[in-house]
Amino acid sequence: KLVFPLYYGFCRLGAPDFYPQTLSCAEETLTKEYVQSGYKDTVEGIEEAREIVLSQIPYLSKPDIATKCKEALKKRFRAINESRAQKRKAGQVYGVPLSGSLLTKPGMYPEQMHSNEDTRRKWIEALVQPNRRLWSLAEQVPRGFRRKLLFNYLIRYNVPLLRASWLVKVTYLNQVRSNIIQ
Amino acid sequence: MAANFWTSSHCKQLLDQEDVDKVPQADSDRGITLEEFRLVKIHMSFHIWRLAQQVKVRQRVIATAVTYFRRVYTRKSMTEYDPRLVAPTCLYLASKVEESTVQARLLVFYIKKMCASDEKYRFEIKDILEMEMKLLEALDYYLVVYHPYRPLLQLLQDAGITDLTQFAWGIVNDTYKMDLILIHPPYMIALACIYIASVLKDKDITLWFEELRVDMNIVKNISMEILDFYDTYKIDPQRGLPEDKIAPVMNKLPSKA
Repeated sequence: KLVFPLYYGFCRLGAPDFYPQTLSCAEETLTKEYVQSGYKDTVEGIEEAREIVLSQIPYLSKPDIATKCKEALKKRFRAINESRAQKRKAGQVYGVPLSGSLLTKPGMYPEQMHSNEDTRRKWIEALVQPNRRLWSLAEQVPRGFRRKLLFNYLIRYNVPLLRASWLVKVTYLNQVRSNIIQ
Repeated sequence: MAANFWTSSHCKQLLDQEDVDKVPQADSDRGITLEEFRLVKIHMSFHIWRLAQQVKVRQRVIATAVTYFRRVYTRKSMTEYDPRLVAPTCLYLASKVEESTVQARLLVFYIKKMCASDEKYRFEIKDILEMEMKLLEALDYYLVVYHPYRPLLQLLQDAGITDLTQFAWGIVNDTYKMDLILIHPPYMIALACIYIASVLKDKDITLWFEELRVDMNIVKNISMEILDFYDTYKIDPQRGLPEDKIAPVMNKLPSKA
């Protein structure tokens, strides 16, 4: 039920409903005014006295306005969904075509390589070694970790939590990527 | 202002619509239907709004007060917690939490002035202070509330449609006549209001919505709920619900005054 935010489209804005502390948080600056009257956010574009009275009840309660608006919303909703679907088909995601070098070596996360039982086992054994660097292991992440099998490997070889998390992410991101390309 | 909705008690206490729509047993026993339950909440949200204008607090205080009010009645009955007293007390409590303190005696003064002809609104300072303690308990002392106004401003700016600020802000204000704040994260409510505003003002921001990577189905559904609200309730912008609709319902509720 809870809609946890995905970050891609919010990279300009930061995560929604999340406001990291800055070096100059105004609310932590004790001025005489703040101490006496309390801290208040300022709102650009709206006078303080107007904040309360603004309402669309007079307009949207008129006959047919809300009904027409619903129809228009549905139309746009279909347009957004159709456009998203077309872009997925065309191999575009969020304005960036997946082709050429982008497919060969995605910069965001490691690609997986063909493997068998033996290479998977050796690679996991290496993953458990603290002195083996993730960046070198990332060059040959084996394919074939599927659902329960992935977790069985992580448990059987007692992979440290942070490295286990990393492998889970790599595995599922590769699955997402392959879905997009289909 | 540094804050993180996702680790907040507000986030943890989000409810489903059906949980919010449960009429408390004591109220149901008095013959109050779900529809009447909703009407009382709308009516008292207007009451808080009118009272707030008298004591000159900002919209954020109203929003917090209304949120407290609506949250209380997901846990307590109107029979036991007289909404006529709960409403001004929520405003009193919210004014402190939002650093815009209003004195209880000022609230008592304006309630008397506004509801002079109705003896059920005769409260004293003592009543508000006592109810405040009860409200704190009912709210489990979790008082920090997140609102759509802040993400609204950010999102409008990012979409390049800050000329729609006042229009969209008005829609957000209206959502406090509904329970959306108890059900959805603030940014989703903000997005729904932007969606409605962009359609009504004929601003095509389809590309922007595409790139947002939110579940547009939820945004659309929230938008539809908001528009259904405008369609369903014939509300006077100043007086709120028609007297002939709300008076019979309020008469079913006992008064503590």
